Amino acid sequence: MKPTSEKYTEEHRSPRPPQRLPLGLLIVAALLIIISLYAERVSRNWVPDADKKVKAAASQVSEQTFKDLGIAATASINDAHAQTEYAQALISRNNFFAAMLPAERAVAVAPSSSDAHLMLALIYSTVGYRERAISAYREALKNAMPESRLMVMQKLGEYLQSTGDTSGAQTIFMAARNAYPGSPGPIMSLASIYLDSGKASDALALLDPICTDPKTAAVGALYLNGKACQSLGKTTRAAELLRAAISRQSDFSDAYHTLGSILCNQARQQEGIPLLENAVKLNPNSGAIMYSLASAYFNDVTRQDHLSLARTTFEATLDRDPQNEWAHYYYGLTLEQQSNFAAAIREYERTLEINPDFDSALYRKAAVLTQLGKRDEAKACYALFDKRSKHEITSVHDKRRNNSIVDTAEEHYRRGMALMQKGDRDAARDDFKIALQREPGNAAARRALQGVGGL
Amino acid sequence: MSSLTRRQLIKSASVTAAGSLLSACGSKSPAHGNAPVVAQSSGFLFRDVQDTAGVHFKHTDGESGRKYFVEQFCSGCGFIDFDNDGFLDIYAVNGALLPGSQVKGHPRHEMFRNRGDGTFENVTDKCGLGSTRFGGGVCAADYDNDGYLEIYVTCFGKNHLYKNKGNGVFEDIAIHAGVAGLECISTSACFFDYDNDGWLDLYVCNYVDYKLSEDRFCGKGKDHKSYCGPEVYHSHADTLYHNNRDGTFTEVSRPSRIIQTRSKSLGVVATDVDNDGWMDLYVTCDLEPNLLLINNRDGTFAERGVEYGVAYGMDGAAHAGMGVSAGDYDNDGNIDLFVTNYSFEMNSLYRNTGQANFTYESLRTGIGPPSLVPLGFGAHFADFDNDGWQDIVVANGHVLDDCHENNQALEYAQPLQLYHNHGGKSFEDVSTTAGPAFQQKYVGRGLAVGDYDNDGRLDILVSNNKGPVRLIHNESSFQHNWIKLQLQGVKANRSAIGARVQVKTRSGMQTQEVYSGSSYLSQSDLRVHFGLGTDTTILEVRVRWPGSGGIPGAEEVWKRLETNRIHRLVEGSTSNKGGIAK
Repeated sequence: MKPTSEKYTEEHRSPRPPQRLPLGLLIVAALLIIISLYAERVSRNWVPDADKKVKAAASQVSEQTFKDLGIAATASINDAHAQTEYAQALISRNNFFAAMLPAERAVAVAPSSSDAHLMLALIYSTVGYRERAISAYREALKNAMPESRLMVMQKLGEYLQSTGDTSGAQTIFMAARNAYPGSPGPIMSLASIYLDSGKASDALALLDPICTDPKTAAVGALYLNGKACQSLGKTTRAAELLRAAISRQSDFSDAYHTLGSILCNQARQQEGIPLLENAVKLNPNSGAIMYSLASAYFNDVTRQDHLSLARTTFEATLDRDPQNEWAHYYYGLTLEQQSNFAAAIREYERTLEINPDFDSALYRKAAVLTQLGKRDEAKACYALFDKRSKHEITSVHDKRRNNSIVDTAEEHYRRGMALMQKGDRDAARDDFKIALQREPGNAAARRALQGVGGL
Repeated sequence: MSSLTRRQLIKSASVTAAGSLLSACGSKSPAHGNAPVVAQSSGFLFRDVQDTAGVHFKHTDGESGRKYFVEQFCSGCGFIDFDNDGFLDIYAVNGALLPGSQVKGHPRHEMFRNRGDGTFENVTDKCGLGSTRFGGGVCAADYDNDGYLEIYVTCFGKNHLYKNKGNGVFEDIAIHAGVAGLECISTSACFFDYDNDGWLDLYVCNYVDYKLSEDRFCGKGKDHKSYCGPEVYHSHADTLYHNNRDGTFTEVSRPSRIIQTRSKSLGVVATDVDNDGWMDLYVTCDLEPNLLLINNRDGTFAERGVEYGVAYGMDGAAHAGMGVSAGDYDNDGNIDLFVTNYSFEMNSLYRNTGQANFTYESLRTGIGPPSLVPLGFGAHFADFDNDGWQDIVVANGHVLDDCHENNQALEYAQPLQLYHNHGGKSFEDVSTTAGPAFQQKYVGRGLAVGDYDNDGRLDILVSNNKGPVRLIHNESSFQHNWIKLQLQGVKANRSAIGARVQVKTRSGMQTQEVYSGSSYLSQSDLRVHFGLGTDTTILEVRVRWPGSGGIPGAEEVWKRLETNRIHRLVEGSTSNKGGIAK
């Protein structure tokens, strides 16, 4: 607030020199301070559990306030503010179903309030009323102020994505990106969708332009860019981006996790394990992170105690994620390496219960049975495994063979024509180009390439 | 994205405060500007000497620019004493120019004769060994028992069998002998006596059905051709030839039941895995289960790879098995197996617990993890420090020259790896401290082991795709004793292929066999070399000779052979106390 009085202005312009207090007054003040501190200490002892009593008194107030809010909401059904406050209080106590009614009332009373719709959307989405939640988000968006539109679009997009409507989410995020081209949020959200759909190249194309300067790029963008690079095998670049993300946000557990995993997958456990350990510290309840650390310990044969570390960490993983078939399998492998054969078999069998097609568990079970001298049982397991394995190998190899062609002009031309019929002009153009490389005088390939604008 | 919600991501978009730099992730990597940790010396020291030794050779992969499938995985090399002067000569197999090549000249296979003074002379023309066919691998043995080693060279197309005339000249008699094979890609081969009749038979690995005119187009982008993998081609059955004892062979693949419907074989070693005196075969296959062909002792074989635990990797995956070496790494008297695999597949160490039961030991022994990223080809058990325990050396190199584009952790040219055996319990990767030869990066393929200068330290020969053949001299300074044995069969095959040798000292017993072929496309020294550590007395040398007359061979024992010498042991002469002076 700006000064308005002349006096203030005068004082402001030329401050007076500080006055000196008399020495006696200072001594008295000091004594008073000492006495009051002592008195406080005495008073504590004098009134035992004073702190607890203060907290109890505060919660009584909160409980009381909650009751008052409820009373006010009941008494003022047409008061949007009262309904909203009561709904918020219920939400804060995780009473979402109870919060639905006052929230719906608030919307009914103030239909143009974006915030009211947004709160209702949150409630509906939490309790699983999907269609109503989407409808509420759309209403919130319709009524949002310009400065809030992006936030609401993000929330709607995120909700659609979380409920499996990827294409709907993608539409929203694209619209947000077009409407707010400078904002990294929609870009990151889109990139996240692309990554989840296995389109790492598309994610990379979106993220690279906003990650040019790791010091100023959004930390989330650095992370997602790192993930995209990881998917594409650009592990060096991935590591750089993830390190940048971590340096900017030192409690970013997923970044530690991803970077640690990249290093461990390159057999650089000594670098990767400390990162994974950090990730676990930051997010101790994550089964996925715990599993990565356990696997890293398992593979770090340079440590004498690596198997016992792996074992306890796999156990912790399974405490968090009992249905993790891979954790059961590797737990079994760890037990096997420690010569706990019966326990190893138990884990392989559990893996197969969760996923009967987990052939590696079948194979290891057979190997352990052999070590235990149970050759007939082992033979049966091996036979079953071998049959399934060879079937799988044949299937994979046949598919790859069928997806390749003999490298002649004629075959490339033929494939190009087939691709044209399917409408894939770009791929057809590539095949016609190669056909001409193989046989520069091939007139049909030349004509076809001209037809798709390749010449 | 398991724990980070998108809401948190959006929030983090506004984080601008600088955090502290993460210290752990960058501090140990030289790529981040920090000084590399200087490792302690392992005591091993290996140096490239091919240039100073006069072994001038450059391999060609065809140089077509067309990325033909066949270009990727050749060729091999061999330490072969073709003139019986006691010094190992060098044979380097070459590729050949392929359609589309703009290169002039005629690359050929080459023979380098060891002068005995550490240098070699090129005697290819004199010997008649300069084939210009696209070569795969080489193996050697005295298949006609005339005292001279013959050389079998596999090719893309017809194979060669070079008959050694004894005067430094060879003649290709493959067609006459019936072992020229088929028009396919043949890879590794080995001589061995499968029926114990005293005459060496021949096993040839055939990879895939392939013709240049049927080369397939593979690649990520439709206009960018990459090398194809073996899965797009059908496998081609291997071939077994029975020695007719008259210089010719008869193909017995079908009656012997070695034919498998799926193989894609790259490596083979003939070894007695069940200790019954009859040679078995272990065949490494590319993206198919490896094969363990157990000798039924009646001229036939039974495939038992799965139930004996050596067909697949630890997790039951059919790996891209490349090279193979057989050896007793834990000195328990049973022959173990080591297989090199693809990138992101650990090399497989299978420990023979007796009677051909194998356990997978790559993780437990520590040999697995350092091999995860490299792509291994030739490999060999050998005691490089003479401490009495078999170490392992591996030649690495990728097959895809654009592998780095697909995954930055991969490189086309890769260094060799040396794993030091610690008492049969574990292996330590000592590559970074094993001397300059282990720091160079090449596209490694074949690998052979032998003591070319007879100084008691095993040296290494490596062939490289589109590169030189490397003669790597062992200059390690361990003060350990050794003994080298050259075996000569009389009733058994003259090269004593398949002989099992055990050397007993106060420290214990070591076991080795004599092999033709093995590793990858390569032939190592036929002499067996034992490191003795600090033992100065050999209590006994026991040789179980290969069979003859249709039955397993007998045993002979030599007592108190001198250490640090090369001895020739002739079948039936157990009174032999002499040796070949060094």
